[in-house]
Amino acid sequence: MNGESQMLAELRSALDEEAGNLRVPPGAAQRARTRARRRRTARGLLAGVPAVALAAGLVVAAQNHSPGPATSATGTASSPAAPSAPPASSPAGSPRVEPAAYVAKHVEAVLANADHYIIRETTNSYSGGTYTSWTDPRTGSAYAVQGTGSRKVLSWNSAYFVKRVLHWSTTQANYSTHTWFVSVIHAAGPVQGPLPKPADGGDVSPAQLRHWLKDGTMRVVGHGHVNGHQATALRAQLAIGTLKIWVDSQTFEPVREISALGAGQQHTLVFNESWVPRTSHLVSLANHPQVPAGFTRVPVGQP
Amino acid sequence: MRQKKWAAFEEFVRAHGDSLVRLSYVLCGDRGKAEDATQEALTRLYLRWGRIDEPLPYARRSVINATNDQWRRSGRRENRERHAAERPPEMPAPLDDLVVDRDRLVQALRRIPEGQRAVIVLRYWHQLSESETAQVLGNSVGTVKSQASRALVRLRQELESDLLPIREHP
Repeated sequence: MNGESQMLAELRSALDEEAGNLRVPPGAAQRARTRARRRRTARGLLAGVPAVALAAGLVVAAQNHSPGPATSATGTASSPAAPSAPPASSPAGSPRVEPAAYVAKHVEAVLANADHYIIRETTNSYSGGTYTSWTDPRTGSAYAVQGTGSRKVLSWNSAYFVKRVLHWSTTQANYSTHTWFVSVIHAAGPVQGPLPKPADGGDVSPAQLRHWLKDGTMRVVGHGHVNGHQATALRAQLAIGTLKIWVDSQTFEPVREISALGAGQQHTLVFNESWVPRTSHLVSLANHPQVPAGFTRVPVGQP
Repeated sequence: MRQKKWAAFEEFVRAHGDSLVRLSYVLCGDRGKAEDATQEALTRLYLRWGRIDEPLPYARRSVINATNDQWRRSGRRENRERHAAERPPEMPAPLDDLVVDRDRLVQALRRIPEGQRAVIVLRYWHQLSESETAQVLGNSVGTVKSQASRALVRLRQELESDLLPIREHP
């Protein structure tokens, strides 16, 4: 066997080995049919068939709503340039009609730019009191504060690879005992193939949202006022429960996430979200644990 | 009629879906993107189902196009090309002497240009003929021949340059 045919034989084996166990995801044919129908419907809308389009799931935004780049009402950093408005138009004075794909496209454009911000989330859903976190979307690392005063707990979470094995690290400082610990756990085995971003293995990431919007798992379900924002609601029905995300109708930045988990959706978590400027202080806080002076390190699990 | 169309499409996906997602995966190296690209290609195929004589070449072509679109969108293509440009200058080395491991082969394949990569995969992995490859890619047989030839040279160069640092610093 000469060099070239040997190389090609090796290549065939390599590709068989690399891709041989991949399968088309279940339901791909059904999804293709559903999407094809939606696209036909969207084409019908552009051709001036609003009644059909409305039946296919549109968002009727507020009468005075005007799409395009704008600054968030909370005073956070302005959003990146958003895609241009859809060609569908409505008579002056009537409610503006936006196809779900239009909203999804804007959300995707904004999420693609999330790396330029720090994402701040707050919730009262936990029993330990108010919980606020600052996540660096570039690394997936986060700093969080739960509770206040002597019941305050600080934590830093990050994920990284060691020899292709995903590791999760948590550093936690507890004000009630003035102690801190570091916990590192890792996956059972190495990741095969290209390494994903460690951040993608944790909470819902912008990449995950983009994926859901793209494959139709997440859809536009309505609009309303949230945290002082005119907002559009997106909902995803997942195996573990329901995830609802409100995005500002002008900047398309997420402003609230509601996850209802469990079979009866009995565990509901509400996070209010804002994107804040990526200052060196916040970047450092999210990525590097800074245990307060005078705290004593203890083994994992010790109160 | 509509039911018949759906049954035929479902059967097509059952028969060829796996090979389409694998085709995308070997081209881009990302499972999620491969699944997305395949889904997009199947959607395009369904839109034209019943109006194309040979769905498989059309589906393969759609998968290749959708994969390349995804790749471009993610910006990884730029990174890959920049990475390739930073490689050390190539030195001739007889391929027969090289111990070519499989992972290195796959990585080398992913560094060569999109068009050449698609030709290699279709011709030597899917084992399509030159005219079948030309049909999938929408090129002439002559173009496929010359692209295949250039692709093999490029693949060999990638493999050889890949091994240079190891030879210099054993």
